[in-house]
Amino acid sequence: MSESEPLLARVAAGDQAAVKACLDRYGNLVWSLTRRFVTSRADAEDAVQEIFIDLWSNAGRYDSNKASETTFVAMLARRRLIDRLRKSGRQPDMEELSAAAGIQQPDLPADIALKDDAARAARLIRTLKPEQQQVIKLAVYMGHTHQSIADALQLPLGTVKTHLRRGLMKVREAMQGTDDESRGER
Amino acid sequence: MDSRDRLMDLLIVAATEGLAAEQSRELARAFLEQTNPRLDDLELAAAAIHLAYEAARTETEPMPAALKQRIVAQATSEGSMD
Repeated sequence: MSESEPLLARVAAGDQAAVKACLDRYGNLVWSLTRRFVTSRADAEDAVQEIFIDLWSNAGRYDSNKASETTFVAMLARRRLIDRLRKSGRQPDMEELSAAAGIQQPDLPADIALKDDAARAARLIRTLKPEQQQVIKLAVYMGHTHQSIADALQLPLGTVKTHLRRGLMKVREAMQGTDDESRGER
Repeated sequence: MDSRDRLMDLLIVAATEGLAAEQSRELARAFLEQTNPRLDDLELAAAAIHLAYEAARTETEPMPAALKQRIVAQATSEGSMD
C-alpha cells in the first residue's frame, strides 16, 4: 500500500483492513508523540489505546482540504495527550525546559526530511525570530504551559502568548492557502 | 481585550496547554458569538509544527507489537468504528 493512499475514509466506512493499515502507518508516530508527553510506559499504552479509539470514531471528520492525514492523526493524539497532562497537573520533563531555555536555535530538520504540512510549518517557523521559535517549540512540541515558559525564559506572559499566537496563525494561514504546492502530496 | 482577541486567546490555550472546565464553557459561549476561527484549524497548525520537530528526532522507539495487536483486537471485537 502506498504511503499516500488515503486510509481514514475507509476506516470511517468500517473497513477492518484499513484499521490495521492505519496502525501500521501511524502507530509509531502516535507512540512517539505519546512517549514525549507521558513518561510511564503503562500510562503511555493506555493513552495510545484511547487515541486510536478517538481516531476510529473521528475518522469520518477528516477533511483532506484542511490537512494531511498524518497531521489530522497527530492533532487527535495531541488533543488527548494535552487533556491527560492538564488533568494530571503534571508538566513534561522540567529539566528539558531548563536546558532548552539556553538554546538559541531550535532544531528543525531540513525540508527534504519532511512532508506536506510539517515542511510548510518548518519553513514558516524558521522565518520567526529565535525567541519566537523557542517559545513555540517549548509550548507546542514539548508541552509546557505558557506560564512555565515565561518563567524559564524570563519573558512576560503576554509576550509568550503573542509569540504563540503569531506562530500558530502563520502556520494556520499557510495550511489554508489554496495555491500551495504541497496540496498535491495529499 | 475584545471578544475576538479573547476567543483567539482561548483557542491558543486549547491548542497548546488545554482548557480548564470554565475556559471550555467560555469558549463554547464565544463560539456562539463569533463564526470565523475554528478550534480544529489552530490544533492542526500545532500538530504540523509538532510533526516538524518530531522529524528531527534521531532516536525513536517503535510502537510495541503487543499494544498494536490489542488495539486491532479491540477495534474488531467491539466495533469501535461504528
